[in-house]
Amino acid sequence: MPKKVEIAYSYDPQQGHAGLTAELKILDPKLIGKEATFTIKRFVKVKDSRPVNKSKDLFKHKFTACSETETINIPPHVLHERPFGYNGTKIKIRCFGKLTINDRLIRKDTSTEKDLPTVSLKKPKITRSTKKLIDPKDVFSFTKNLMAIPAHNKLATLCLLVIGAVIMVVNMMIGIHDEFSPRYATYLYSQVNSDGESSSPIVKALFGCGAIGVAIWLAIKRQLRQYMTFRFKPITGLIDRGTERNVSDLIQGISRTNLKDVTLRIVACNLEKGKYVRGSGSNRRTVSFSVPKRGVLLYSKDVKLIPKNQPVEQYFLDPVSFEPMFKALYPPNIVSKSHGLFVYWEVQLIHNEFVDQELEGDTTQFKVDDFFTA
Amino acid sequence: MNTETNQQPVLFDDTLGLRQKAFHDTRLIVFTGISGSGKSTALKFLCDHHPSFSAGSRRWLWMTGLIPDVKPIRGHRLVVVDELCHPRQLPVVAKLLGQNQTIAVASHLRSAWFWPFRLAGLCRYYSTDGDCGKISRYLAQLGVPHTAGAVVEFCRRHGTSYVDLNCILERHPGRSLDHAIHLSGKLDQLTVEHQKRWRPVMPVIDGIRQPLG
Repeated sequence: MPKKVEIAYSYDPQQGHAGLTAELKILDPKLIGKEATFTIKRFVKVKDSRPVNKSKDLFKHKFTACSETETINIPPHVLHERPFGYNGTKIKIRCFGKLTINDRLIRKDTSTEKDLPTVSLKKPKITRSTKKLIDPKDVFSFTKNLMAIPAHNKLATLCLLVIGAVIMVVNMMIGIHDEFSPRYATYLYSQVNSDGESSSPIVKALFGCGAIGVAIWLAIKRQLRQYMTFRFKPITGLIDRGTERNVSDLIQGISRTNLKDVTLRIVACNLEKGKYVRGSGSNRRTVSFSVPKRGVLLYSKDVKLIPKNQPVEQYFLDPVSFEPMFKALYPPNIVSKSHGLFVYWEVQLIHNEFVDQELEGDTTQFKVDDFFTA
Repeated sequence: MNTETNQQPVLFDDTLGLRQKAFHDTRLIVFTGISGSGKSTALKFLCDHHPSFSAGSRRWLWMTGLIPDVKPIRGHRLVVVDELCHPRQLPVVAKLLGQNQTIAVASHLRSAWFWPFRLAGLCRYYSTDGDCGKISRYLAQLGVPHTAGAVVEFCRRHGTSYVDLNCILERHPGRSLDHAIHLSGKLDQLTVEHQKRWRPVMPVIDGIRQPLG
């Protein structure tokens, strides 16, 4: 079947971002005089059996097809956003023009699509496991962690443990008593339920112990995190390919205990983001996922000992360059908060005795154009 | 959007001890709990496997947003009303009670809405939300390593929902619930879709796990 409509692009480099035009060819004379729409879309296709795809209109132009050829100047903001195609593991991003002629009342309108003439971005192959880089195995010792937290947190944790143990023992003793006592002599747990059927007080007591244990574990975990402070310093100015900053200018923190064999890492990666659906009927869930890809290690340093109450940053005075990140990662290609390709970086403080610390970095200060240069 | 809704057969964990209960004189059985916590599977168990009902005539009714005409539904041993989600649907339950022997309901309403039935002594009320142990047992059945802390953390974030648990394990398979829940917290987000129209899917019970004690 011959094509009824076609799209052709031309680009004048002298005009920069304003130099892109689309030539829309109406090859079927029957379509002349009909209403038409030309749209430039950025589209994220999620690679899943039940995907939730997303698209965003970068430009929309409605017109009446008066002649065989319509030329449309594409506004500079479209190229300013530097759209590019991306084919990843979980998502595929396309940027294309779509011409639709409103020629049918019920059936699908005549339409055609063509990808924008964007430069193909070639980034180096990365063999490192991004998941391991982004999520190092967190090994920690409960006892050492407990010893490291401040005295009042330590006291609170020990009190919680003692109180919890006492309540659980008393609860179990009541359960055992009620199990073997006559029905009229039980303390707390009845041997019959609300329906008048027999039920076991020991089982009820076990459930009670489980609930107490859960509450106490949550309270203890909250206390264990208090062994150090660790946060970003305010980062000023734009971060580009040539930026080098001292690590000590990026982070700050003080530990309440000696930190032995500490590793500080700065890592970056791309995140493929999208959504898919699981479940059925009224139990449907939308799963918003982020898949880390192309992990880059920007900085890593092992320190034998950071004494307590010393600023952590003093031990990381070396410069860190952001160039490897600009070289290896694809630029952000974002359709919405939940869909697209994102850039992500974080600082990790890893040690085997305490719960690891992680800080998620701000990406708004990265100079996006520098991701495009080879 | 693809709307694949094949239901996988599940092992029913009789955490509420339903099998031991005698429902001969019970008029109304109500299950409440978060979406995905096993209300419909409990109804399916009562309907197909419970000795009080499996021999009699049974009828399953989906309340998919509409108020159905229940005049013809009468004389059944058990009528199951799944997905009761609005108080205006309660008169349907009352009407069915007048026309049938026992009604079993999976409800998204607050327990207070059933007080009239409870005060009249007609109702047995069960919550499918309370037991973290069922999540541990499900993980053990799947062979997924887990610590008690990870199960507690999962229940704190998502409640005792099998659907959410499956979503997390699918996203981060291989190591353990502890690892999966950590990565899921960092990289993913689960949201329940509230839809006006949806295609009902009947749970399929593959086997039954006996309750503790």
